Amino acid sequence: MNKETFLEELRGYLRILEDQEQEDILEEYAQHIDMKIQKGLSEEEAIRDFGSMRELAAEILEAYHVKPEFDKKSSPYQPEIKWNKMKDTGKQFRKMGSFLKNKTKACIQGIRKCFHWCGRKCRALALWVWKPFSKAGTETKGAKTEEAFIHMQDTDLTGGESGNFPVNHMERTRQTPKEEGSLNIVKTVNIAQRRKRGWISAFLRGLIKTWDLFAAFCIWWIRLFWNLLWLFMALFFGGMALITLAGVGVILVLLPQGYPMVGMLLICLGGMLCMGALCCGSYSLILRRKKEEQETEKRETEKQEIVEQETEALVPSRSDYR
Amino acid sequence: MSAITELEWRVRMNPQFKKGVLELIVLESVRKKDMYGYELVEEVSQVIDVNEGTIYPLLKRLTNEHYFETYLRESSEGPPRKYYHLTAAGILYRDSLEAEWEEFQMRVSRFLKEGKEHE
Repeated sequence: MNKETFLEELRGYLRILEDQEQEDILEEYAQHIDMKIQKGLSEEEAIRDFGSMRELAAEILEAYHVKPEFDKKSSPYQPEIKWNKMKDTGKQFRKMGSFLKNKTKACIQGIRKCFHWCGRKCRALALWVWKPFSKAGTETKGAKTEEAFIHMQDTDLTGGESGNFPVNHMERTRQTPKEEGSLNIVKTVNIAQRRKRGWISAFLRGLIKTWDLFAAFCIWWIRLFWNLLWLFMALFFGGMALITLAGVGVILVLLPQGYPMVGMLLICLGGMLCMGALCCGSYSLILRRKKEEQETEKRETEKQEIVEQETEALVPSRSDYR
Repeated sequence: MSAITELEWRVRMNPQFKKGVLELIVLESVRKKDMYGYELVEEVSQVIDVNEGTIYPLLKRLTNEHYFETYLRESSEGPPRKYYHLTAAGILYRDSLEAEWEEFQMRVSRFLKEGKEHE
């Protein structure tokens, strides 16, 4: 132990004393050690002559009429042990946190899948309901295929599989490049049918196109509304969590002063956790939408590329449908 | 006693005794001459073997109780030293301690002598 560490350690024991007094006595010890070194002793030897640090500190405190139990409180080792304990608990908390994170991730995945499944079923139902109307509305064969194409685009936009439509089969074949032969067959059939189309189909096409635009517009607005709603909710819950956190802070200050706030503290803690969870949940809902949008965009662009290649080769008027 | 050397005697002395008379020895040392800490430690060590560290708290206590005054004086080697000077109250205290010590020592030796005479 050298002079500096000795003095610092001793200062740790003497924290109960006023700063001026600490300086005073430590100055004496520093000078004593210096003198010993001048006499030819090493730093180590000079310090060893003082004996046990604890006893020395106890003696100094006794000279100031300080109760000996304060010596234990002011010993510098206690806080270190506490720190270690805190580190351990911190590690445990982190482990628990990562565990919870994984579990919540899994839960969110499950909920997401559930939503996807529900969405698919709803869409299938809607298409099933729509099917008879579309059949009634379209008399000619060509128009029917048009209808099918539009529906295909619709399903692409919302990013899922439709029910038992003929389009669905086509979509599948496009997604799997192995069946390129069958895809080409379907294509050529479609194109042959389109050449036969009359003015009714043209009219219907226009009608369906405007309807499509309107639907897209509606979807855009609904999506915007949805995102804004959840953004607002996330901000609201986050704000509430912060307010309850501030409340917890205030109560923690008031509690030691004797205010009967234990119930309030529990309420605030619960509120904080609840609000935090709701905030995270709301935010994750926004993210989910964004991801889906990206996926559908990607899929759409892929589809468009395929359609473009085919239209360039065969029918120039196909570009209307995109 | 003659078998034990002076040094051995200083070391062997009962620590409880040492503690009791340390205050008197310190007061007497400072009465003879104003001293700084280290000098005082050396002086006291010649009489009784004592942990060097324990003298500083004692000096501090006696200063707080106004038996000592302190002042700084430049030294040729190193920083200025803090000198201890015995105050009037310190002299009175020293005298009372000395009287106590004489009385104590007298009573104890008389008791021991009586014990030897009874044998």
